[in-house]
Amino acid sequence: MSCVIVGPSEQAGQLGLPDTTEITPPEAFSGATRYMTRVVVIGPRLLNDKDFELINRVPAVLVLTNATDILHVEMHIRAGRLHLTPHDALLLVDMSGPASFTAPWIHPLLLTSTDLAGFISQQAAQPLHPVPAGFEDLPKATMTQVATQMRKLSLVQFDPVLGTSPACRSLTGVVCNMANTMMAEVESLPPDVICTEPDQAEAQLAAHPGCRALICPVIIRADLPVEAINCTVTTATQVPVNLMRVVPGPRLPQGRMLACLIYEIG
Amino acid sequence: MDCYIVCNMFPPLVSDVVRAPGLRAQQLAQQAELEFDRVRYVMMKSRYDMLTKSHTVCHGLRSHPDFIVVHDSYLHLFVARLEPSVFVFTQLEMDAFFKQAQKRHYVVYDMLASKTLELRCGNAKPNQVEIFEERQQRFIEQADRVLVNAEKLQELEAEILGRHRDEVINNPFCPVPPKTDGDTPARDHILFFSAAQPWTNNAAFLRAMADYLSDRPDLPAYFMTSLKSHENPESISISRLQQMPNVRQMSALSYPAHQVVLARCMAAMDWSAVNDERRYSTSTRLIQAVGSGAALFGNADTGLDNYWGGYPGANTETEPDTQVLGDFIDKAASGAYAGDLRRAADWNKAVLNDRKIFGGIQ
Repeated sequence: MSCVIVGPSEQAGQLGLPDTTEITPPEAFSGATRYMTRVVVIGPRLLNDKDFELINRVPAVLVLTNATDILHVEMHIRAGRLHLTPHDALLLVDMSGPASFTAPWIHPLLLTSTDLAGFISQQAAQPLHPVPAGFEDLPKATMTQVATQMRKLSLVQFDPVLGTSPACRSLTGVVCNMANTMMAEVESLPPDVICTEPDQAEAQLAAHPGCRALICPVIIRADLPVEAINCTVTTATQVPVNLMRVVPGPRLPQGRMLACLIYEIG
Repeated sequence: MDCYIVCNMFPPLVSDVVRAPGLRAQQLAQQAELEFDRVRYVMMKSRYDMLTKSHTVCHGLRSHPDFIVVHDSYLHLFVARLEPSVFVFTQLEMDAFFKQAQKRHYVVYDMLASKTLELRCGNAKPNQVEIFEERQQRFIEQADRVLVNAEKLQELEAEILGRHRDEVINNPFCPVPPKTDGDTPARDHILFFSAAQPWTNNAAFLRAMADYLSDRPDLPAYFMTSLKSHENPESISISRLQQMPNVRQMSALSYPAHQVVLARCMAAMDWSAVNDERRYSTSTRLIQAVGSGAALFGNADTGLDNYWGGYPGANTETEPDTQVLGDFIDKAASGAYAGDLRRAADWNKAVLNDRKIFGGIQ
């Protein structure tokens, strides 16, 4: 278990992280990344495009120190190079505001600085944010694979306003391109699309009758096939609901599979 | 008597992806409801397929009994089996439908914009322009009633309107105001836009907005634009604006979300260098904003000159600078345009309730 910290030593010190003054030779750093199980990046604006291939593989905390950092992360998300999952977090330091107006997408994944020590000393990979039941043991790589598939899709013809159930909030970066998505809760907008567990679909649709699409991240099992999940969702509303697409993830142990079910409503 | 609004884009009744022709169809339906027993929207299957062929997973559509899709092969039967009705055409693309309908129904041609002028500005091929010129001439000649979107459009097409000119009815573009329920939000934001069409250029306006907003971090602004390539003259200003802590950039919103954003805005701003097309065109963005109660900053000398009994805000022919923008925003924030906006709302209401648009049709 090793945590790699990338960034200037002054800011690392402010966050209570080990001193990063000693410059690691590039070959040694490259070697260290082979055994890396998590990463903290202070100032992601300093990363290049290739670095995100590495960051997508392990749980990461991106420490945003100024507006340029936010803009860079947004740019990499927009371009499909970076996927943020419930195993990842964003931490704001030295910033005057929470950027809720210009970058509301950061909110589902925000971390407080006190949690950073816990992240570094984690013994086993576990999500940093609440997730739906059954998602706790999914590794980041699994979620990233689904995110990659979801990013290839264009969900609607406009920037969607995304609403989520509390447990699915941290899956925002898995189910959509956060840089092109409006956050219903943070921006107080009526959701066009709702991301929810199937058993919460009825409550969510009742709360947001104007919603036109539903994304259900699910774990398909032998005793819970797509047909059973489909029944739960289609009986949740009085208007027609059509299953438009099933986006499959990789196979998981015990015959399970992570997938995203996309429904059109009305 | 029944009335059928022939759609080439989806109206808000069935879709969250709403463009100008869809809003116009909704306006015509509202006006027609004053005169006819039943009003329905109708779309040809080929057009429906084209609009839903996009690569997106969801189309944001919902079914409604008043929205009918007719297969092209059965168009003649659909038209033949109906009691004599009124068919309203807003687009020249519906040529085949127009030919069928005018055989035994009362046909209204509604000219929303000059298609031929748009084609010329968009550097369309000459034969394509000719096709639409011929269609326009035929629609005007054969329609029982012709509606236009603005007096300026009537001036532009004076030659084509020919002997029908005096019979043409001016029906300004006026979206149906959104139903509001619950608390009205405070209008403390502004909304502004980059160029929407290839032939419009907002570079000077965006440069001035970037200069102004960099000095006004207290003013939250929604900026509706797509990200543009380096070669585009607007791209530098878009990059500057995107980095400002008080600017929220977005490409396009669904119709319900757009309405919510408009309700938060004290002002909507969209200025582009006036060219041949701008001089006669109206702006859906700005017309929608006025409908929701936001003051406008835009171009002088466009098709909107004769709207609302006077511009509810400020407009200019010359490139705006920070002083001009600042004065407008300060006045909008202080409520100086409230009287103009009330007058505009009354004017909109009168348009939507104007019975001469469809009155007297037997």
